[in-house]
Amino acid sequence: MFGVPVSYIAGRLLQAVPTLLVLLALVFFLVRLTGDPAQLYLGDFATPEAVAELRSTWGLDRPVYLQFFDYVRGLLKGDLGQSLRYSKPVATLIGERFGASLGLAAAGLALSVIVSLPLGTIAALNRGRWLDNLIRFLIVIGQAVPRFYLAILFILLFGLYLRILPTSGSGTWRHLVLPAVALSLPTTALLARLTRSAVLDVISQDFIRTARAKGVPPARINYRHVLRNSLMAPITVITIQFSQLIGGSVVVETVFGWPGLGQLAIQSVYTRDFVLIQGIVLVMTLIVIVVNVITDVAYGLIDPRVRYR
Amino acid sequence: MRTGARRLKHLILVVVAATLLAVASAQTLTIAHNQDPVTLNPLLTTAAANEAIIQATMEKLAVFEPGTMRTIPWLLEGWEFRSETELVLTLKPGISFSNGEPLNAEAVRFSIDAWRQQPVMAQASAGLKDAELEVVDDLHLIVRTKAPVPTLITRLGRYGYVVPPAYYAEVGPEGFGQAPIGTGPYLFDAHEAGSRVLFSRNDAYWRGTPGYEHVVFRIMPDDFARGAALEAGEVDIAYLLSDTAADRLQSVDGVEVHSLLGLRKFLAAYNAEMPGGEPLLDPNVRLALNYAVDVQAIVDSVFGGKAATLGGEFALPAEFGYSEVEPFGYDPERARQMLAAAGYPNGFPVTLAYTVGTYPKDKEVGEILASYLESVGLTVTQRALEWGQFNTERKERTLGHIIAFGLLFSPDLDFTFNYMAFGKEARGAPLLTWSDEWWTAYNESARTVDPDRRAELYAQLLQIDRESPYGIYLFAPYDYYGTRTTVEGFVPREDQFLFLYDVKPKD
Repeated sequence: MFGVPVSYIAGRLLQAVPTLLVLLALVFFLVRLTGDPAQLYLGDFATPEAVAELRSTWGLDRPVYLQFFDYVRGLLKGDLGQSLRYSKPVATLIGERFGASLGLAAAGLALSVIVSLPLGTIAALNRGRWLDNLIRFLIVIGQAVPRFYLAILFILLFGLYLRILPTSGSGTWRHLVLPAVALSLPTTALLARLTRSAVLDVISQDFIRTARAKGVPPARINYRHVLRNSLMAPITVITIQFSQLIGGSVVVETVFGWPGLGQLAIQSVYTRDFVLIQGIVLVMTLIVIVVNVITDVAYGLIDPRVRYR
Repeated sequence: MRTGARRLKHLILVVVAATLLAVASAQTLTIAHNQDPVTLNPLLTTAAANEAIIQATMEKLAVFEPGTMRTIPWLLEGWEFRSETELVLTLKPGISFSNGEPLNAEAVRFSIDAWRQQPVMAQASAGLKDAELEVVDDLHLIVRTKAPVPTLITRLGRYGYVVPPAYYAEVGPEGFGQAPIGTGPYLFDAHEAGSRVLFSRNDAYWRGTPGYEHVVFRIMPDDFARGAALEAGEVDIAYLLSDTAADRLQSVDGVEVHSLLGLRKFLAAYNAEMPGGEPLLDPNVRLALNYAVDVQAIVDSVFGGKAATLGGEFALPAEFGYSEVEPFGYDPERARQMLAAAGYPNGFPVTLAYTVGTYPKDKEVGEILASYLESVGLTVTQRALEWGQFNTERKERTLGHIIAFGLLFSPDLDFTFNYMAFGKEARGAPLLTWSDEWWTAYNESARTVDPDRRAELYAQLLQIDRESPYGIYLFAPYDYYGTRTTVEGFVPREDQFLFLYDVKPKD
């Protein structure tokens, strides 16, 4: 696949199985230390009998290790379990929200990449000039301002004062714009900073000086030699950011009423919906694993010196 | 000439499009709601936010009247107690579910039965669990309880939804939660998880044709976003706003802000049986701490004056059995004297626990409370906890000596006193030992159906709780809603429900 041996990819995925199991066990046992979902569901006025009955209905009265074995057995059959609160299969609940989160994260990341790579490169190529200073100032702002604050500012500016975009919700591309931009800005700033550093590092290398001395046109040097050799660090961060954007967009999803996985995750934690928490963690872990493998594959595509063993 | 004709054609098209858009928006009522419903089966949830959506299509036997919170008949024509343990319910005639099933006594029997069998409803259906239900005829059902249940009618007003038996049996509780059918003004269309819940008009609704063709609940967990959507005209009603969002909307053209005192009341309850909590067993100490806290100042500074102080009683005017007793007032000097007289001239150490992010401004209130307690000599260790942890530790009795939180009961003081009486053993409530006098009054109230006598007993209990407080009685915040001026008939309710039939487009 893309010149990468399939055995290498399979090996990387197999290596991830113990990680996945350890993480699952950790989440499984730790969430059970954080409170009783039956008591939370029934509230302040529940009698011990009512709480015990509900715990029994949910299977929480059985020894924890038995619950874990049953859970893993279910996973092997592709069953993520039944949500305690929603009384629906966890896979269905995640499936309902996953597309929205994926779409938002992809839009946010695409925006970040499109803006940050040229921005970082321009800043580096104009090092010390006003353009570099301006871009560095914007990078600091982008990294310093929290996403929730950006989200509120965007709603006020574009939704209320200019009235050119909906304040929140989902369904059309217009609904996607503000959450995607709010989500992307800190990532854009981070990537632009990294790209600037990487480009500065590359342009001081001997081979660039040689290319210049040979009279290679600057545009060609910048595109073929500088940019390509500067991409390794940003690509690592881009892939890490992607998995973070899918699971970590809780604030943006909440402010913009975006029906994604982040909202579901936060709700499952508040209600101690153990099975749903486990399902979401499992899916997020799988995403991180897959994204890491894709990153490794991408290294090889960009840098021919990388070899797969 | 040709250009003029083209311009005219464009103008006509724009006018037609604008008119169609205006008509379409007038036909849809859009509500910005704070929570995605976990289920749309009303027999599986007691969350007011869920029910506010469910009630577009499901109705109850009785409801609470806004303003007074008195229980009034809804699907019922009325009720009559034949004895303290026998209640006759009479249904309104001629009502059907939207799938054609008749609303009759059998449907009510089935619904109560389905409701009381749900483990999640065990507490809500207390007193009805082992009641005998007898269908007399299509319109009459007799409920025979094993013992008098004074709150029987209140429970029907709070939880008494009626489901169509044949359909419910066919799809099961979970299936019903995904596609409910009721007698209400709107028909359920779809639930787009985390995004929207859609309804359309029930033309055969028994009270008449509802005002809108469609109702859309948009799920918007952030209250600033709900306010902004209302301001931008994207929604017609914003459900439960914060005081800051409401303040902002006050000055916006085309928007109306509604506020009213809710049913949630806050206190800092005493947990005297936690090690080190012995001073709190002394009623004078409990009283002194109420004098030590300036609740009005908290309300003014934290809530901008938009909350009611509870005075000397842990009760609200909208609750059945409410009577005013002498408020404590803020008197730190008196508090210090009382603590000294009780043997604590230098105060004593306490742990004060409160939630973070569960109630509006709970952390701020907790911190201010701590400073008031310190000002009369107590050494306060603060514990600010997330709700799940707070709730777990409360049950395990390890949370703190003084525990600040809110309670939302059905509007009848029986629920408050029941909590005080049995919360100690069963519910992880703060611990206190009540006097014989308190137990005598409570036990009688718990088996008295006669409302006048119950009210007398509650007045007596409130007075006892004034002299020997359960905690530091704090405040009840206001609830806020926003509406566009293009809608009329919206009435904010203390129970946070939405009665959408009454909401119509303004002419």
